[in-house]
Amino acid sequence: MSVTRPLARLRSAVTPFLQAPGARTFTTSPASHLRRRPSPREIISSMGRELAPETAPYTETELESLRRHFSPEQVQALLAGEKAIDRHDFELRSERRRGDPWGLSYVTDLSTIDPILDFAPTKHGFEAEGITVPKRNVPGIQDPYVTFQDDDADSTLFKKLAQRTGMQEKDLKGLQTRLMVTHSVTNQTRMGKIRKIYALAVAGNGNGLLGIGEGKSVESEDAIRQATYMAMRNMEPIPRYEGRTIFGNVKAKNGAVEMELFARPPGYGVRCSSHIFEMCRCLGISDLSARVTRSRNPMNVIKTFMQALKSQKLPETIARGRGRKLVDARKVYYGGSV
Amino acid sequence: MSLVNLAAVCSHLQNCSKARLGLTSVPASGLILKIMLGLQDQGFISSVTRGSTSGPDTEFIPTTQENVASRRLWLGLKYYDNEPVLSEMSLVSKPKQRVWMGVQDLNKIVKGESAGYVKGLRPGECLFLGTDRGVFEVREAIERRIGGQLLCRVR
Repeated sequence: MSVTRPLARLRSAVTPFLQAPGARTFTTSPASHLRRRPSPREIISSMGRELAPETAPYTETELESLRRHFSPEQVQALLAGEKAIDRHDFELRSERRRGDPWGLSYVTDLSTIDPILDFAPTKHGFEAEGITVPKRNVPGIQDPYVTFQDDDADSTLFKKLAQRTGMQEKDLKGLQTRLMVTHSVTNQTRMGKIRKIYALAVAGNGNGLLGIGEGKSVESEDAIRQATYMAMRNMEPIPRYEGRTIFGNVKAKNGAVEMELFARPPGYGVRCSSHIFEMCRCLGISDLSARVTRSRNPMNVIKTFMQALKSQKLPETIARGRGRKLVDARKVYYGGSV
Repeated sequence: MSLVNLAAVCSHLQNCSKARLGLTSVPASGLILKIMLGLQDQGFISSVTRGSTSGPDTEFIPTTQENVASRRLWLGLKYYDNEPVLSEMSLVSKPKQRVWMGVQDLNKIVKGESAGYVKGLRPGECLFLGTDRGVFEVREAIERRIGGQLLCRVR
């Protein structure tokens, strides 16, 4: 027991978890847009001096403090740079944007036309005073002899999926799907046996999303379609260490399947049984080894693997549970470039 | 240093975590007290209180010849994210086979490599050592460049 440790207990406050807007990070280092070097003006203001207006040239005291922080050549270059710029431009300048300078500040897909946002509001909706909700259009009478060709089954499926998952149809079509298991199953009734085809599929985007789905139907094609649809619908984010392996070793048990997963170093490859390998491809894991003990039933192996991936304990969660601060030393020593 | 008692404490804490208990008691011995304080420092348990078999003390009661048999340590268990913070705890040294290690081997273990029969630590795992200068967590022992007897590993 050390005497200093009780003090450490007192100051074990959890630092706020800095996150990029709309992004889920699995690391402790702040997002790149939050890391910024202070400008010379900020250095001066942090020293307690009153900040001169942006357009005013540096005063003698400010120059002195700059000399303390920068080498003579740097100060010379700084002053030369400021001299070269028109003072009027200082009023107009804004902070340099980090990351993609042409990126939009919001998430959108400009390749598709949004039925509401991309059209100017029609006038008749707001004609009458006091009505805030647009009137509905009166449905026209359709010619019974003209039938419109309905979209094929796949396209309606993607449309439905897009509505359910909130993903773009384009993204859904780019998903990797694999049919993992098919076999026939029978239901014994007093009328006789009813045979059906069972299918199990997995879907993933190759970048941290994975889902499994099951389907059952008299027609095998139908069962496969059902399974694929359910796999895409069930996709959920799976935490990955450095986007290539898992967080620590994981043990999982589901029915008679027992499984051990091991995190592996970069370049190791996915040395697993074929079913786990395929799922890793869909998920985007490149370094992993697994040991499946006891039952190796493909359907249950797939379900157990999914369960194991979801039961990973993240270092962040462990640290939070123990009330301790977690720092990734590599992110500190290499300037967050790792 | 009775490892038999420590083994019972390890199993007891695992069982309590599985049963989602908030408060439990363990025998009040010097070794167990030191390890429990170590656990509290690492954040595995929330509190360590003196007490008797009837419950934690509300005011200080000295241990005497008369009450020593009924003395207990009361521990507050922690849960986060619907999971126990302390989920696994097991002996490394056994009553029949005790394990001692120097700093070099301890270094290996902390890195996650195995040394001898002892497997490396997994992420978030802690290992407690009994040394001639007290009970330490393995990382602290390495910092002080001292080895010792491996007592238990906690996760």
